[in-house]
Amino acid sequence: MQFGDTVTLVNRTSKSVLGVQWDGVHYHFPPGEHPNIPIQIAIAALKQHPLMGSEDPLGDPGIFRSLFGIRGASDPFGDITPLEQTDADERIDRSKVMGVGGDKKQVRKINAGGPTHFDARMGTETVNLQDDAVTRR
Amino acid sequence: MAGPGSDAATEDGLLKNTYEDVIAEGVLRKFQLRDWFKLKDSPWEGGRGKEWSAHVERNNSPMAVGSDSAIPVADNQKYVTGFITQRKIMARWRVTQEQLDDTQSREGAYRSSRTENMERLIDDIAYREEFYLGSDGRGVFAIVDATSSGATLELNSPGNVSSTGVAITSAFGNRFIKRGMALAAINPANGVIRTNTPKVTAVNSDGTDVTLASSPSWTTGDYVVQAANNAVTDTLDTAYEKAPWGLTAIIDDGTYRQNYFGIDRYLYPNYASYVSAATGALSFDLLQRISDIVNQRLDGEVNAIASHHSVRRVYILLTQADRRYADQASRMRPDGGTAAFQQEDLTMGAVSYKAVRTLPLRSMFLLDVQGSDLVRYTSEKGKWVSGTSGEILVRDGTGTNARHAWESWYYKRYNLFARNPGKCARLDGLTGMTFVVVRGE
Repeated sequence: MQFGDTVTLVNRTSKSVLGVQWDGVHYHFPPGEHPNIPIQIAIAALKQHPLMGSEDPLGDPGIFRSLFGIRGASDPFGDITPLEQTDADERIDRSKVMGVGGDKKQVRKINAGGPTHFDARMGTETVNLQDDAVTRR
Repeated sequence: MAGPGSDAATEDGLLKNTYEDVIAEGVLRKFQLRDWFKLKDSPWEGGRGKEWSAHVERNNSPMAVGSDSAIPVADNQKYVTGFITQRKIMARWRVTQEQLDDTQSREGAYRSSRTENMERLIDDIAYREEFYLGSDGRGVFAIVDATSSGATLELNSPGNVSSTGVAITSAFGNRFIKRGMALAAINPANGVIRTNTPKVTAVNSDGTDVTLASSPSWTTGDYVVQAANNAVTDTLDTAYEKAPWGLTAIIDDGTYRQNYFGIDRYLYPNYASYVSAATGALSFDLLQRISDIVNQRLDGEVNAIASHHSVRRVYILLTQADRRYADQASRMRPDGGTAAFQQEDLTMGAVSYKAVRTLPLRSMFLLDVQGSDLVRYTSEKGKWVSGTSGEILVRDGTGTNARHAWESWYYKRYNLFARNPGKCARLDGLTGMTFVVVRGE
């Protein structure tokens, strides 16, 4: 591949518009084929949409199954057959984790919750509820 | 019944107020990221910029040979040069002569307006720097969401960190925007400003949007950046691409910055950090894997971890199952907290873990601070812009615009850089899930 090369990128899912970010720019790819995509963006798409639970925790971090495929690329990224996201909670395949971390009986899933609006705001500055009420009226 | 006489009610007109000597500080003045990063300062000699040389590939000729066998063809080291440039932050204060005069004495004011404003403006720059140091240098506050309507600007991806897959109500797209700022929209495809740069009249409480003084008519997906005022028509007069590069630009694989100060991270991946996108749940297995990856790639040794507080909470849960295996003294006086309760650093194998409020949500940075050789190239650490006679308060306006008022400007000019960003890693797309090993059950 040379600089400036383009490829046909395939969103393998049936329904999901998948977002990809490269060099700060956001791209969105609906299901199906997308010709003439710069190779750098296509590779970013592959990396940013792994099939959850498909990465071997002891294997090459660059090898995993992806919701994107590149037509004509070598395996595993040349696979453009239909594929849907799993319900796995993590990128790595936990069944391949060695030791107690791979034992379903000894691993528990806990949800610590996500960030709140208070978390996200910087410092002590509050919002103006009156303004908000006016806006929403 | 008490008779008439002197008391506080009848002689209120006789009493004076007395005053506290100090002003209670209600504005944040501790800057976590700036204070944590004690970067090496490197001088800046001016010119076009600081050219740097990147060693991108070794001589691949070494080969085992036999007696009188052919020896390998010659090879050589490969280098690429790039440029480090400077970024500038400016702040401005205006004051009337009357306000300067009337705040001179302790009888007239808690503190002199001049002292108060000039000292605090430097803090205020630091506050904005906290946002810049956690983001990618584009100065992007957020992305225009498709649900925007009229003067209500719905936002996602705060700091240009993608919130794809996250509901807008959890994306907190307005997290970096302040009331009173003028905003501009930049077309991401060409970096050109859209028309209209209205001021923010409200930052709304649900975290999703801001209300503008007028309907901006911007396009879904536009970058939202700060504008110098509400009449700006040129990208030059916005913060777009003018901020110092922060952690998401430096510890990156090209998601935010493909061109790393002149080195193409796609062509030379050793100048890309290891980034795990869509990571999902956090676990010790995962953290060990990342440490192993950066060590095997470029001999990186993770010695600092940083994330937003919400990600640190996930990490605290990871340690929960292990804390009951404490020594006897700890069991006798169980302590439900961690060092994080006092906002001290947690550790991961003696590596300090810092929570920083301005870092991207759902991300974690794993840094080899020494190995990556983080430096700050500084042409100006920060100073007041002086007039021709050295004065820093300059008369405001001339001709018909003249007023009996003064202005002062403050600026800093620097940029951050890591000579070996490939020794660091970043986890993106972390969820609130953890996988905790529950030993003995």
